[in-house]
Amino acid sequence: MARGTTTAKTTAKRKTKPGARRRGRNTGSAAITLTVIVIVVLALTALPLCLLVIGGMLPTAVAVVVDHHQRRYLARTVGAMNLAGVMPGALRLWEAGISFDSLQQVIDSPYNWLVMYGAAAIGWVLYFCVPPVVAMVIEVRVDETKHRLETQAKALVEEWGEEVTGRKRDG
Amino acid sequence: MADQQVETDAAGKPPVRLGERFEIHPDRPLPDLRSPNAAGFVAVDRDRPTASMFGLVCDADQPPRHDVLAALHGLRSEALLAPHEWGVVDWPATGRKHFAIIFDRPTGGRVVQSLTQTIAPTHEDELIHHVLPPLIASLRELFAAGFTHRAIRPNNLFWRDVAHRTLALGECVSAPPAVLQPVVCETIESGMAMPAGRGNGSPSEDLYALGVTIIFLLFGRNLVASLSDDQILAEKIGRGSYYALLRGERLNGAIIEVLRGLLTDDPRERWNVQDVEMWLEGRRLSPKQPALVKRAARPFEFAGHPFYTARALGYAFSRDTASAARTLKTPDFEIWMQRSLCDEDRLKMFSAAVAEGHDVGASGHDERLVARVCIALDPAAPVRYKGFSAAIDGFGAALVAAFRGRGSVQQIAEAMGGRLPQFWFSAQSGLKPELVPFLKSFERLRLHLEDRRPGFGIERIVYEMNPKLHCLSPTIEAEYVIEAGDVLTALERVSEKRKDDDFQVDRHLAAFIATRYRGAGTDWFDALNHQDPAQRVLGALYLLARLQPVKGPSAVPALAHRLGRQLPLVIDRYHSRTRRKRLKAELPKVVGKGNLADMLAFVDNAADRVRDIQGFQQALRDHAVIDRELDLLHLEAPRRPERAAELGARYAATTASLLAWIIALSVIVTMS
Repeated sequence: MARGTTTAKTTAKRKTKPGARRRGRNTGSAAITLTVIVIVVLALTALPLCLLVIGGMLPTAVAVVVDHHQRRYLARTVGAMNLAGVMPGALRLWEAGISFDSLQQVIDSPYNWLVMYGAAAIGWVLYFCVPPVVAMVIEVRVDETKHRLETQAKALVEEWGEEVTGRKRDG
Repeated sequence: MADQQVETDAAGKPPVRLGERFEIHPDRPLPDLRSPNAAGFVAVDRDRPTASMFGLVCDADQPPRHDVLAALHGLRSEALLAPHEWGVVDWPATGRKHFAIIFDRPTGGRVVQSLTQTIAPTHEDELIHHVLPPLIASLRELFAAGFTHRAIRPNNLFWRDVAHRTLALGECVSAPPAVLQPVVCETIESGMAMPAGRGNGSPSEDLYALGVTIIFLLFGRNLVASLSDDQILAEKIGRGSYYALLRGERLNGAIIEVLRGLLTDDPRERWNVQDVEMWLEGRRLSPKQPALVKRAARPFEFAGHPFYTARALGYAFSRDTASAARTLKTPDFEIWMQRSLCDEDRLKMFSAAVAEGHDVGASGHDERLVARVCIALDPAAPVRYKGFSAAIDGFGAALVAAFRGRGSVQQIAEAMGGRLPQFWFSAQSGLKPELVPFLKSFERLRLHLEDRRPGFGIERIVYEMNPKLHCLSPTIEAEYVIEAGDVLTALERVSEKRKDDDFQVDRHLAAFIATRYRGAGTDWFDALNHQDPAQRVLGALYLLARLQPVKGPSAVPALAHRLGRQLPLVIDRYHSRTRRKRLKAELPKVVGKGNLADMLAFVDNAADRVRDIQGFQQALRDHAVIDRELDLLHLEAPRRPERAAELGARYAATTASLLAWIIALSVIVTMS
């Protein structure tokens, strides 16, 4: 994974224009700022919920830390699934009333952790499995295109001779 | 001689038809009536079987005088051997076609068979009262019609009667003018020309020949028989024709007057027909004295010989060009002309001859300089260049002779290319009106000469200058084709025997068609010169297909077969392989019909050609697009895993977001 992301990062660096890089960096820092604000607000208004979210979203934090891709696909993939996994626990805490007792009940249940971290794990799996499948599909499509084009070129040469290639025949 | 071949192997052959009326019997030769270039045979007039006639079967190397044939036929003069019928016949002995002419058979036979023969001298009175009047009357008619005889010599005279009292001039139509004349019978100017290049000349030349013939008849022998042609000419130039021909023999009586008048070397002083007629009527004119030739005060030494006259020196220069060129580069010659010859006109022309040579150092410059100086020294003499020598109206016949192996085509082409005829015209003090068309045509022909395409060049000139010359193309020469419309018939006949040979339009055939078929455009011949064999074949087919509707037979299957063998090359000019295959499959059927226009339309259809080109252009574009796409795929290959990873990550993120939304909504719905 590290190698994949490093390559992606390097290529992104090579390919991305300076303006785009700056824009990406701005977007990232804005997201972090927004997250910090949300966490601060959440900590001030509903500290137990905040703690649940912080604890539940740890895989996402790891993903954010290790994801150096400009578009942060890993963070987005893991984050989305992780957030979906935190959602049931957060709702239960909400229903039970936001208190440290309720938090204790939620975090005592391994099922909740399984759901939160399992969802994140699915995100990780998605991130690792989809690209090879896509690559395979692309290769198949390229091979098909190549074959089709070569067949068409051969048919043209058969009908119009080697001259149609624009190259002079030997001799 | 070809005419001897015409005579041989003819025994037992059936009569050959000429036109509707006449038959020539190959198995009944008449050796005493044969000409040097034509064999004589008994001929029969089917309308008048009892009439005594003979036919001359001409040597194909020497074109007959078609214009004079028609004139003589119309004249029906008693002292001229007049042709009844003429045309091309298929001659069995040679297996080819020849031109044949039918004449009345002279009753008394030929006067002499050769100039070395001796006969009983004819008395002066006999000549004046019986021989000359009808001959002069006939010549007057011929001259009045605008033609010359150019074959008046002792061995071309026939007795019209058994009693041998009246004479007739022999035929003058089976060969180019004066080509068979011995030098002794020709004027100095004409004698200096090669036999084939003497030209039609003027009545003056005929009357000179008549004078020589009278001397022969008077003495019964040729007085200069022991001299070579060169010696005769040198004697004539040095002493004047009259004295040179009599060789010291004395003449008495009135005949001296007519001989002096006829043998005067200055054409302006020479007696004309009216002069002779008046003399015959008894009006005695003052005897002509030989005109004084301008002689230099001191001689000019050339090649070890002293020369006093411009004409003699010009003749010597023309016979030794290399020495003459060296001489002309020294100042001695010009000094001699200025101080000794003292002839203003000659000096002016000499300056012009030297000034015209702008091409110093170019190949043939010296020879052209010598040729121009020869003209300057002797403007009445023929154009002389290297070994070639021809009168201005003799270029055409000389060119024919050269093409038939008697002379150099190259020399004639160089003479014309070097504008020697134009210089000759500029040297003439008074240009004869009959020569004006020649001046114009030489300018025009020089343009043809410089054009190297088939249909032009020196081959074009030979047909332009000889309007009735048969086609000399090796392919159909034996078919004796005179009209463009007969080309296809001849080609078909030849092709029937050579079906498996490839067909090509050679330079002679192209030039012949270009000249004789006036509707032919110059572009018709461009393809014949193309480097691509397919274009040449197409050019040949295009040319012949144009001829077919003119007079050619509607079907020429043998020729079509020969052309058809080469047409796959033309079909291969189409790009489409499918079209090629289809055309090649259908070609034998089209060729079999023998219609060249159909063949042309089949292999070179304009609409098909456009479609083919358009299709090919589209295919080129399509192939280029395919090439670009394949190149793009190839170029993108190294970046493809990276792009796949990027795309995969994006899909993963999108899928995760979608799943997250579904899960979230499901949880909310479930828990609420």
